[in-house]
Amino acid sequence: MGRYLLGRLALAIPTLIVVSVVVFVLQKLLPGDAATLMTADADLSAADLARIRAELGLDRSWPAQYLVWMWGVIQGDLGTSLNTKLPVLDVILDKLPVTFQLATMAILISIGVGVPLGVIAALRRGSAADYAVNFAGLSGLSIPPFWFGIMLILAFSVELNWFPASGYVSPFEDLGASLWTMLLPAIVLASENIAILMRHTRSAMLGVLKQDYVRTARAKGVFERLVVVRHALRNALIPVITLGAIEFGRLLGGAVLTEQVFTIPGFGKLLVDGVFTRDYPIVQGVVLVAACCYIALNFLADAAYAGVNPRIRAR
Amino acid sequence: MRRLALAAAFLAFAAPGFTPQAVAQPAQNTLRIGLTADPDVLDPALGRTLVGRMVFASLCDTLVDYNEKLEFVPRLAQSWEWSNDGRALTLRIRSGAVFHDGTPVDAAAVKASLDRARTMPQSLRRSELAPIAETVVVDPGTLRLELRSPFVPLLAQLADRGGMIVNAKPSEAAGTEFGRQPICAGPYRFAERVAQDRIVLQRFDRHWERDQYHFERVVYLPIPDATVRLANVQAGSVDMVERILPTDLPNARRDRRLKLADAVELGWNSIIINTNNGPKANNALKDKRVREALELSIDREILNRAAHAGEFVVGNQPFAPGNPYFASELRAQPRNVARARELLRAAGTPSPAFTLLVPNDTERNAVAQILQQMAREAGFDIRLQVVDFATSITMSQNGDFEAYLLSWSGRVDPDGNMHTFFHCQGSQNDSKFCDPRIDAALDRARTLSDVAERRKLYAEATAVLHDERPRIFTYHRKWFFAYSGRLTDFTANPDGMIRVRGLRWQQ
Repeated sequence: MGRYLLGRLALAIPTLIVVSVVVFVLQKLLPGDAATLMTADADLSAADLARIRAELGLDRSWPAQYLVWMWGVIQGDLGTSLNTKLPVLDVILDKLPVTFQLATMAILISIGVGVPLGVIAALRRGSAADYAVNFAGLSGLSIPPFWFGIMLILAFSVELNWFPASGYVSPFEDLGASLWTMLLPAIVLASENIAILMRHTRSAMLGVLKQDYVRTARAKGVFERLVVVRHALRNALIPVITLGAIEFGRLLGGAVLTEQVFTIPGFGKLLVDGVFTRDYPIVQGVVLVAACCYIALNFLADAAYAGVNPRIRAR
Repeated sequence: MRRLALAAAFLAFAAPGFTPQAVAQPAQNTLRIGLTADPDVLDPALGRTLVGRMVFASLCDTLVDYNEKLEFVPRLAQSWEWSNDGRALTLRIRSGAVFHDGTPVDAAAVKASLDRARTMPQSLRRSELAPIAETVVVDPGTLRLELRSPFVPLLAQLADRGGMIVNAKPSEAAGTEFGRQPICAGPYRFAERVAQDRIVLQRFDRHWERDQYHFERVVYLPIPDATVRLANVQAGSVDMVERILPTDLPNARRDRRLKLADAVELGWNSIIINTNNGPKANNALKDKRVREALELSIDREILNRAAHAGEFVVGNQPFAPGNPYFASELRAQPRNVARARELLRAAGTPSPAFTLLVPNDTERNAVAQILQQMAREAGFDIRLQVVDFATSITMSQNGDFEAYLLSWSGRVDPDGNMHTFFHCQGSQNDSKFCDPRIDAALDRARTLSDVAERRKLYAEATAVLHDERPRIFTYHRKWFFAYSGRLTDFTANPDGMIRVRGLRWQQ
């Protein structure tokens, strides 16, 4: 088990290198660069542009640019944003807690709502409750987050004035206000995942409830609640944990639309703006950090299987 | 089980531990402004965005400024004087102005700042300030700018980022990182920046005009979505926002909590046609008659109504109606589909096809589709190629386009709306359209200070553009601002900037 996990860790480094190379090349394939954008609002001669490109290091060959960046990364320097001249590492460290908080709240809401709904739907299969849960779940999945977010803002911020319309408050400044401000965006983000988790929990539960050990437990006279929670749900949770970890990783990579609507200064907006303004160091930095999060979460999910399933623990 | 489900529902919808609290009202002395995007670097020499200029308006004083009638007014330069030959501009520097670190702003400091902007390798102001040959300190309160040749538009450059005075000593040490902690001489000093979240400025109590600034803090918050921006000012989460969409105006006008202000922009919107830039200049619009037919197929009023709820201003020139340089004698041709068809037949191409390059945003997407439909009635077959903004600029510069939807934010001096786009040597003349008559008029207008004379020359150049049509001007946007009903004394300026001077809460 330990060796298995160590092996997974060792695989992380080549993965990160491949990811950074691919992202670097993809960015370079986009037409234009940061210097091009400067001409949109300033009168620059060709000589001006050439000089600016040289200053920014954009005149070097692709491999040279990549290696300069990589050399910095190894030394813990993610470079400087071409657009704002702020250190990329500082910018990312500013966003990381924001994105982490949003993703955590969203995933907790998704699990807290999605898993119980899935269980209910499985236990009452074919009933009105099952259909109602499915309908609600699919609606959540189908509503565009952009629209849903704006509707929530109009209802709860503009009309009722319960929530601030957007923005971000650090939990270290004011925990209550922080959670409160982040609640609407977390609900929007969760609306999609609730359905996914619900569907998976439902089908996993249906599979497990047919198993012999469940029938045996019932035959022994174990309380139905214990059968469901201890025997069935625990086994059904394995695929759900994987899925939860993947979804959480996806959320950590940034939730562009939701962040945009609620003006949350997270990863998604940073990344998209970075791509559109050809701010290579920002994009490279964000992707690297997001990939690290993703790998770490997958690793944790592997470890968590062991927690819920003794068969894996023994391996 | 039921308990679990209930708890989950409670968690999701009731947020345990918190009762709905009214949105926190900020301290009376803070002004929160919602911007359309996060500004770029806060260094006037390197800044390239309009939203960046919004922040500079409070952070960095310029040498001169202009009011909503576009008349120049003093800032750090208390007065100025052109030499008779137009080759020297003498500035009297205001006494008592100091930088945010306490250093006095004198002629030597202004010289150092201008020299920095003129010579720093990455500076975007080098071309703008290139007419300056030398900066000469006459005495501590007087600076003379000696020019290579007469260049009247310089004053306008000094009212923009080119004339924002920074303390050059610390800026030299900081290099391009100066923008992390800018030291200017504006009414507000830099306090804090969290990328894509907020920029906080703190009132500078030693500013020479401190009594005109009534807020202790100004906070700039990027809110990219226009509808959300409006919702924020409606909900009281911010006090003022810029650029409300025309389609959101009815909603904003109904809201009694809000006040609105607007101004017609300095800039223009146009279709530029590749007449001379590389192989793609060999397109269906090569024939001047086809370009005329294209213009005749367009109804600018309908375009304005369909794409902008009739709230913008139709235009056929590089200057909006109302601008001192607008030539009212140059009228737009009304739509005439029959005549357009006739012209196309005469040109031997009854159904010309071309590709229109469109930067991807809601406004220009809508405009492009409406143009496509209107031109179709005259026989045109327009293919739309929608790409992201940076890509579109690159393609345009490389001549990789047949026609392109291009907007310009505009400049207070007419030269900034024309020279770089229409002069043969203009760095943004992506059509590479070249006409000696235009060059002569534009070059001469740079040397004159009389508005009437200049206006005549710009009208001459515009008349050539009207005849040759390397570009078809379509409309001018309006800047719409929405702000809390409790704010008073705001004036919208055609440059779209928010000047905090004089702005205050209603007593």
